[in-house]
Amino acid sequence: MVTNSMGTNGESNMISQEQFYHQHEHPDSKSKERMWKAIRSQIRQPGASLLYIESKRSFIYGIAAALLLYFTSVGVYITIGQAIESGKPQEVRFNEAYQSAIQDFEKVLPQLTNGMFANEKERDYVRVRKEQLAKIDAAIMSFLSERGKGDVSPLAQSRLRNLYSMKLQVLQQLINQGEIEL
Amino acid sequence: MIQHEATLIDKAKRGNQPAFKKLYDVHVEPLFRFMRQYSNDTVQVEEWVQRAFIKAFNNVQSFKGNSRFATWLFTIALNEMRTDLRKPNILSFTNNELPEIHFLQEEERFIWSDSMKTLLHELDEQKRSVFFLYEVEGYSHAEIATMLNINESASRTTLCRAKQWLRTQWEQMEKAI
Repeated sequence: MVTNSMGTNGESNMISQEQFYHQHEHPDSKSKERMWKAIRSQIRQPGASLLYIESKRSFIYGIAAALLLYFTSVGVYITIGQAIESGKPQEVRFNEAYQSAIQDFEKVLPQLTNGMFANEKERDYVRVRKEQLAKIDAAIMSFLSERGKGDVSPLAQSRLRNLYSMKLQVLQQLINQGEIEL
Repeated sequence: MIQHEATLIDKAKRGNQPAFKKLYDVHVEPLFRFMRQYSNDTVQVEEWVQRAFIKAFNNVQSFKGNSRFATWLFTIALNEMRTDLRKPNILSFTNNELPEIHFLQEEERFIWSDSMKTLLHELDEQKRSVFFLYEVEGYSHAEIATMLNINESASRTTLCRAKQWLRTQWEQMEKAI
């Protein structure tokens, strides 16, 4: 018996592949190329399937996000307008406007983020943004607490507004992420 | 499974076509020459190989790595070939069932000769598959059982019957010469 080195079946007396298979039984380079061309034409393009599903998903979520963002933004502007037109002191009016805008975005956000961020990268993005929001919230609470104690300096007010602004930006980035990235 | 191949499979699962091309480059030759044993028609063999790779790529997500990639690929190719063989006018089989088998006796009596190769093509598809997979490709009976959807014992019996038939035919051929 013509033998081969031990095969995976544990038998040392396998028939030698080199001797068993004749030269004409091997595919030549043209045959390999021809087969690959046929295979390539039949298989999905790199990431095509995912791209297709994700782009479709992106399209649907994008429209949903755009609509929600539109209606929320309209609501935010109306609320800001109403707050500014009220007869309250300027700092209070700005704070209320920011808080109202933030609340409106926060109402929208779960609807946008629920189930949208399917992959690990997207979930990481949301996690980091939520951590940022938590830090900003903590800083806002700290300023509000100071203000409760009587610190209503223009510097404190300015910092508070900056924090509100930052929070709005992060919220908007999260919403935009849902709209643009998916 | 070698680490490199595992990486390529992971990439292929993410739709990476160049990674799949590397898998193709590694496996096309063994698969082709194996499938070539079932048909002299190279166009037909190319078709089986193509269909196996296309199915492998499209279903690579279902490959869990419990077997070698080659085992999985060969299984797909064999199924493709068997699907075609069930159709009329593709290939005909010889009825070469033998009643009695004695495993150890057959193991001892069987000696491969290159001139037996022509006889292999007269074996029915299952015997041929078991013989090629075990004796030439080096798969275990457990792997062959999975690939051909039979049990291990059936694989052993089939191999023994194939060897028995080959030996008998070869001896008759030798006597005639």
